[in-house]
Amino acid sequence: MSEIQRVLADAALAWLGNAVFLAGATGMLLWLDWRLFLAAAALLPPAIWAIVVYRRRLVVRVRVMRERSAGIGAFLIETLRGARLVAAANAGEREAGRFSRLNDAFVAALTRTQRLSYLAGGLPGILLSASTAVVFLYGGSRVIDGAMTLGTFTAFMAYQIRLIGPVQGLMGLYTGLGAARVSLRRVHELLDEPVEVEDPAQPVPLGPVRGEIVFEDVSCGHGRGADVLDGFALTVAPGEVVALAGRSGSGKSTVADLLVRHLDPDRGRILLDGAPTCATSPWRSCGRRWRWWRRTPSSSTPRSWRTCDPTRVRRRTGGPSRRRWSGRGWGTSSRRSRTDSTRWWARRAGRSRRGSGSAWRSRGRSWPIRRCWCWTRRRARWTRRRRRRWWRRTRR
Amino acid sequence: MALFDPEIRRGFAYVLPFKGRLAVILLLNLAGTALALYVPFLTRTLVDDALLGADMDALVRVVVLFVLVTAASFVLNFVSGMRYTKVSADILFSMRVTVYRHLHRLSPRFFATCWCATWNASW
Repeated sequence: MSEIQRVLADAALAWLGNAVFLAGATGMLLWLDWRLFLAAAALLPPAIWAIVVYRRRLVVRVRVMRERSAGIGAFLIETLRGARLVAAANAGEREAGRFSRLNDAFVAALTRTQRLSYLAGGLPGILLSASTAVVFLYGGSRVIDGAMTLGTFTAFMAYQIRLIGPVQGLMGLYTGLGAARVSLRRVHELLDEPVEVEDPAQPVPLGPVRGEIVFEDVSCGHGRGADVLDGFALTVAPGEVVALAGRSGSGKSTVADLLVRHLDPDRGRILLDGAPTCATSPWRSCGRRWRWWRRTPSSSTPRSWRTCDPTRVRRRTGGPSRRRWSGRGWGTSSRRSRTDSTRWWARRAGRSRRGSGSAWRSRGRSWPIRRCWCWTRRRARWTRRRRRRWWRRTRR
Repeated sequence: MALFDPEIRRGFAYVLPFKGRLAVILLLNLAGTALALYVPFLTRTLVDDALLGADMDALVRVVVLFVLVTAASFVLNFVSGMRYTKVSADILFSMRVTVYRHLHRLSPRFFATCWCATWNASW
């Protein structure tokens, strides 16, 4: 997407401007003196060829350089995260050697890129200077002979000097279009991905939901190897609490996915209060009261529900839990993502870690940490409001 | 030619709803470029009529024209550039929303096998 953005935002309009300018300037040069234009244009094709060739090479070199730079970053993250392992294996020196080799490879790539970038700018520049020299020589002789006025000659030079910018701009867009094409292909691959689970066009209306769930001889696979569920049967009475326990890969998550229709079974059917879920649209109509969640919370998971065990499919009967999970590690959250959901936690942590308030402040906080009564009262007010909202939602 | 690539052509589907706004930007940009093209031509009048002809009026005329044309060209390019930035952001957002909606309709099977599991900030 960033490639498409680059082409869309920066290059496309510039391309149009450059193309029009190039055409217009060429027209003006021809109109001013076509003989001089032909003399000047003789060296233009090799100059354009040099720009194209070197730019293409430069793109490859820059990519290699970026990859090597990213490699250094990845190495650092990997080895620093696994610092204990490195120390335990007494591999500090070996890792330092690896780091040094990665750095050498990066410096080599950087040097080659730099050399190529000088050549990419210099060679076409020399050819165009030669072209300018031709214009000086031939145009000057025409001015001396009186075949051309000095003003025309000056204007010709002004147009010729301005010609190279648009040519380079157009070449840049050509390269950018290539990158955008690859990105667009990825986008189209995604859009071509068929939707497996569709809501029925005419869903059977559901009455008031009691909550009886029946899995009838359900089989489901993920297209790789044997089916995860084969002939699975389960009946859950309304209000019943069910725990699914099993080894990793035994199909617990698949059951939950089937229940909320993230998947449709290959065989068998799932009934909610006697109605097949694929004929009704139960999760749209009562999605507020039926939820599916995992251990890792997402931004759309209600914060009050993030404390549950992943192996259980349960129906909530109480109010929101008092315990909450901020959902992010301390070190990984950016300042922006900390805006609402984790700011409360930040305050709480700031209050509980009285001694280490400066560490939090150094993360870029501009407001002072206030550990006075008002946060406690405000927090209590928020909690009350949250509970009221939850109560209203579930009763609706 | 990259512009006639099927992927690029398919991508134009996102651009079409914005064709009215893009046409206005196109006209503004063309006007700005035409004015920018006129500036070097002024040097001919400057040298031939004003300098070699020793005409003070022509000199003032050329300088005033130069300033006006440069300023107008800048304003036109600025306006078209700003408007274009907005339109291009809208086009990209419409594309992102389309993909985002589609991704939400896909099953967990897709996410279990897709290369997009490795996506990160590029989105």
